[in-house]
Amino acid sequence: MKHILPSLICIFFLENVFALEGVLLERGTKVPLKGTNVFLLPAKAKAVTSKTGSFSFGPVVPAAENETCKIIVNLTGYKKLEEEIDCKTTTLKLYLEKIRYSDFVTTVTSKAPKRDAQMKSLRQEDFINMPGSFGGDPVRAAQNLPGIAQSGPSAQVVVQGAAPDDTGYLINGHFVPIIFHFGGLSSVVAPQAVDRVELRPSGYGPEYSRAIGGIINLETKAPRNDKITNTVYVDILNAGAVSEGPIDDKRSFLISGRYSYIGQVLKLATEEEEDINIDSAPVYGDITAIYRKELSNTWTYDNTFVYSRDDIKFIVQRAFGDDPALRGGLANTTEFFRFIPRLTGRLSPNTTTTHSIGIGQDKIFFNIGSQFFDLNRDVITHRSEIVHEFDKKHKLFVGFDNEFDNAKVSLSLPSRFNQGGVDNPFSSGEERRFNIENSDINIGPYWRYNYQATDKLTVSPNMRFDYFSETKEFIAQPRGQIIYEWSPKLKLNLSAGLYTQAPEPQEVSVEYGNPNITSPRSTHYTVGWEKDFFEAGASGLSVVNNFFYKDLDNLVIPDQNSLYLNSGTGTIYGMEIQGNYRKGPWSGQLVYTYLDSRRSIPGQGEFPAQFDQTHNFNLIGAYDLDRWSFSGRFRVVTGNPYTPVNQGVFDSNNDVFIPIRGRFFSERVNTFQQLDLRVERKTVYDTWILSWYVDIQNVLNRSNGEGLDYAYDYSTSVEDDGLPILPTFGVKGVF
Amino acid sequence: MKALSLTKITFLTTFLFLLLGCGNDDLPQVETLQGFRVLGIVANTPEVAAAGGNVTLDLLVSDVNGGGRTISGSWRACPDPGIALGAEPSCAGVSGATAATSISLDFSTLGAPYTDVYGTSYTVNVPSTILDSANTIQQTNGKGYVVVFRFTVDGREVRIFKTIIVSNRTTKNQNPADPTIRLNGGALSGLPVVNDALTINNLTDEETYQAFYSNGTLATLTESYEVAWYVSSKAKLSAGKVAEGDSVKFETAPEGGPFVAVAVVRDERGGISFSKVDIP
Repeated sequence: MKHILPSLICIFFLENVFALEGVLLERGTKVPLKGTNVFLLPAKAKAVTSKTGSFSFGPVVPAAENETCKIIVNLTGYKKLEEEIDCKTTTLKLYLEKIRYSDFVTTVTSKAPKRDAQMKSLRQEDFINMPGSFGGDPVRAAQNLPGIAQSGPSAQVVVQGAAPDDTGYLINGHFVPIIFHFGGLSSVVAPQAVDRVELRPSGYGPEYSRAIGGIINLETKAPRNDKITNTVYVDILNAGAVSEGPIDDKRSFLISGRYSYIGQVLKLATEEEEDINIDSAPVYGDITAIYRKELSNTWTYDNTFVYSRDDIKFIVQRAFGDDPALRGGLANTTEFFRFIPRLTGRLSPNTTTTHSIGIGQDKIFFNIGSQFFDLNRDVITHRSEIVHEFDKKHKLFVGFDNEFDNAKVSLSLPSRFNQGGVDNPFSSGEERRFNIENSDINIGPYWRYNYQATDKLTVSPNMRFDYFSETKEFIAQPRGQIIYEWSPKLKLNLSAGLYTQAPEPQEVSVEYGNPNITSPRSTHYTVGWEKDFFEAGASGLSVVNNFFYKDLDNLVIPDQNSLYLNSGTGTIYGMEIQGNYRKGPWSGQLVYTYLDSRRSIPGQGEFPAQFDQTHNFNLIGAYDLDRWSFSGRFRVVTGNPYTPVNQGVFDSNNDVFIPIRGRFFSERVNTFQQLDLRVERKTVYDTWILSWYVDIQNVLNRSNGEGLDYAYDYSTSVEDDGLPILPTFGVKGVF
Repeated sequence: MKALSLTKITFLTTFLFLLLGCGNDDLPQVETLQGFRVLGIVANTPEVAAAGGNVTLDLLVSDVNGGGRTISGSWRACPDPGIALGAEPSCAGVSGATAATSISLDFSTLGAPYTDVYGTSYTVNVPSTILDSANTIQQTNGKGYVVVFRFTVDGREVRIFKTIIVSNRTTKNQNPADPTIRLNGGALSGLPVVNDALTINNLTDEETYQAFYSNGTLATLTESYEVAWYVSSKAKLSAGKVAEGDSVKFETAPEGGPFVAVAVVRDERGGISFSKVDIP
C-alpha cells in the first residue's frame, strides 16, 4: 500500500504534463544551431540544443485553458524568435533568421600567417558581391586590387605595369594555361568553389617563380562539412549549379558545373552583321570538383579537379583588317584540365609538410582559312614542402616546385611581327609550317628561412633556383624580406629579389624563333607599411601602402634578322595605397596606384610600356540594408599608351598595307572612367534562400576606347568605343 | 610551357574580340575607290632565276576623284630587307639598292574615271647576286628583290612595293590569266543596284609548285587565288577581298556614272592579273 500512493501521484502528473521536442535550424540554410537556449512560456522551461540542433522539454506542466504557449529563442547575430504554438504540440521545427547572410560558408581549416607581406588576397565574402565582377567572379574582383591595370575586355591580368604574359596563373599553386574564359568575362573556376584569390605583385617569396610580373593564385575551398548545400544560378552570361557537403564525418565534397550561353547572345547580336556569320555559337563551360578527407587529426587529403573549355566558330566574310589571310572559316577551341591531389600533414609537433601534384592536359586549336595552330600538351606539375620550426625564432621552409610537360604542336601560320603593340598583316609574314614534339623539364627548388631577430623584427633570407630545360639554364634567385612590427597594428616591410621566367617556346623554337634566346629577368624591390586603425572594434580604417621598383633585363624582343633577341630592358616603379573602411552597414575601399613603366630596345630608346597607366584610382562603396545590398565602383585610369601608325605601305603581292610605326607608345587614348553599380536582394525562406542581383557596368555609358581603329591604308583612324553600358541580371537559389 | 599557351590564347582571344568589333563604318572601305591608289603592280615574270635579268612592271592605278592630274614620284629597287620579318618596306640604307628613278603619272592620259594600267612600264634589272649565300630552303622557296615606288599626293607620301621572287625552282611562277567580270552571272553592262552580285570567271587552273616547310620538308603545294574587288562612285560591297569562287554583293549601289569595277586576282606568290569594266 505504501507504494501505491506515489504511483497514483505519478500517473496523475503524467496525464497532466506533456513532452515537447524539436529542432532549431538556421532559416534559409537549415544549419543546425547548437548550444542555443530555447525557452517555453508560460512553463518557464528552458532547453539547450544539441549538436544536431535538437532540443526537448519535458515533462512540462501544460498551460491553463486561457493561456497561450510561446517559444522564445534569442541568439546573438540572429533575429529574436518569438512564436506562439499550440500548447498540445509535441514536435516543433524552428527556423531562426540570421541578421546578415553571407552567400557561402567557408570551412576554416587553418589560418596560416601571411608569408609575403606584399601579398594581397580576396576571400569569397570579399569578391562575391563586388560590383563589376559579373556575378562575383574572383579574378575580375581581384582587378580592383592595387597594382592591377585596367585591361578592358582582355582575358589577362596585368600586374604593376608588366607585360600581360609576365603574369603566372595558378590553381592551388599549380600553373594553368588560362585564368579567364573567352574575352575575360569569367574565370575558369566557379566563384562558389574558390576560397580566395591571391595576388603576389612583387617581392614575393621563393615558393613562386616563372613569372617576372606577378602571380595570381586561386585557392579552392574546403567543402562545407556541416550539411549538404545546393546552389543553382542563372544570369545573362551563364547558368550553373554547385553542390557541397559532408559525405561522412571525415569526408566532404564539392562539385560545380557551369555552362555559358553568351554565344547565343552574340549570335543574336551579330545576326544583322554582314561581316561575320557565327556558325557555331561561342560557348564556354567549366567543371570543378573537390574532395576532402580528414585522414587523422594531423593529416588531410584533398583533391581538386578543374576542367575548362571554350569553343567558337565563325565565318568571317569581310577579311579582318582587310588582310586576306584573316578571312573564311574561323574556329578556336581552348581546353584544359587539372587533377590536383594534395596531402597536408604534421610530421612532428614542429614540422608540417604539404605535397601536391597537378596532372593535366592543355589543348588549343585555332584556324582561320588555311592557317592553323594545334597544340596538345600533357603536363605534370609537382609541389612539395616541409616547414620546420626549430624554436620560436627559427623557421625553415624547404620545397620543390617542378613542371614536366610534353607538347605536340602542328602549325601553319605566317611569322607574326608585332612591335609597339602594332601587328604587321599576317599575309605579309613568312609562312611557317611544322609539326614538332617537345618535352620540357622545369625544376624549382627553394628555401625560405624566417629568423625572428627580436620580438618585432623578422628577417627572411630566401633562395630560389630554376632550371629550364628549353634554355638549359640554371638560375639562382636570391630573395629576401624584412618585417618590422612597430606595434601590433602597424607593420613595416621590405623585400627584394630576383625573378625569372623561361622564354616563350616559339621564341626559342628552331623553326619559329631563335634557339639562342635566354630567360628574361626582373629584380624587384619593395617597401611598405600596413596600419590597422580598427584597434579592437569592428569599425574603422585599415591602410596598406607599398612602393615598388622593378628592373627588367634580358627581355625578348622581335628582331628582323634573328627573329628574336634578348635586347630589351625596362624599369617599373610606383606606389600603391589601399584604404578599407567599415562602419556598421557601410563599407568602402579606396585604391590608388601611381605607376611609371618603361621599356628600352635598341633603335627606339626608352618608351612607355603598353600598360603604363600613370594614375589608377578605384573607389568602391557598399551599403547593406536588411536583405538589400547596394554597391558601386568608380574607376578613373590614365589612358593606355599606343603607338601611332604614320603610314601604310602597300604590299602589292599580298594585297595588304604594312604599318610604319611612329614612336612606340608615344600617344595615349582618353582617360578611362567607369561607374559600375550593383544591387542585390535576398529573400530568406525557411529551407532556402533566393537572391537576385542587377550588376550594371559602365552605367554612364562612357566611351572608353582601348585603342585606335585604322582605315585599310592607315590614312585615317578613329578611337574604338570600348564596352558600352552592360547590365547583367542574375538569380540564385541556395537550398 | 605556360607562356606558349598564354601568348597564343591571348592573341587568339583578343583577335576574336577584335573580329567581333571589326568593320568600323566611320572609316573608308578598302574596295571603294576615291583618291589616288595603286591597286597592284604586275610583273611580266613574277619569279625569276638566280641569274636575274630584266623584269617589266606595270602599275594598275586609280585616281577617280583626281580630275586627270599628274602625280610625281620615284622608284628604287633593292634586295628584300626582311619585310616578312618586320623590316620596313624601304630601300633606304639597304646594301645593293639602286638609285632613285623619278617618274610621273599623267592621269589625263587614262580618261575618266582614271582607273587603268598606266601607259608606261618600268624595267627593273634583278641582279644575279640575290641567292648568293642563300641556303637550300631559300634557294628553292626564293628570296625577294623589292621595288619600292613613292608618290607624293596632296602632301602625303604614298608608298607601294613589289617583291620579285628569285629562286632555283625549275618551273617559275606565271601570272594568272586575266579574269572576266560578271554581274549576276552575266556581263556587267549597266550600273549595278543593291544586292547585285559580282563574280569572275575564265581563270586558269592554279599552278602547283614545290616549297620547303620551315622544318626542312619539301612539299608540293597548290596556289590559291584571291580576288580583290574595287568599285567607284561611293559604292560599297559586302567584302573587298574574297576567294576565287566567291561572289560579292553591292551593299550600296554606285551613285552614278562614270563607274568602274576592277577585279585583281593574286596567286599568293606574286602573280597578278586583273580585269576592269567601265560604265560611262
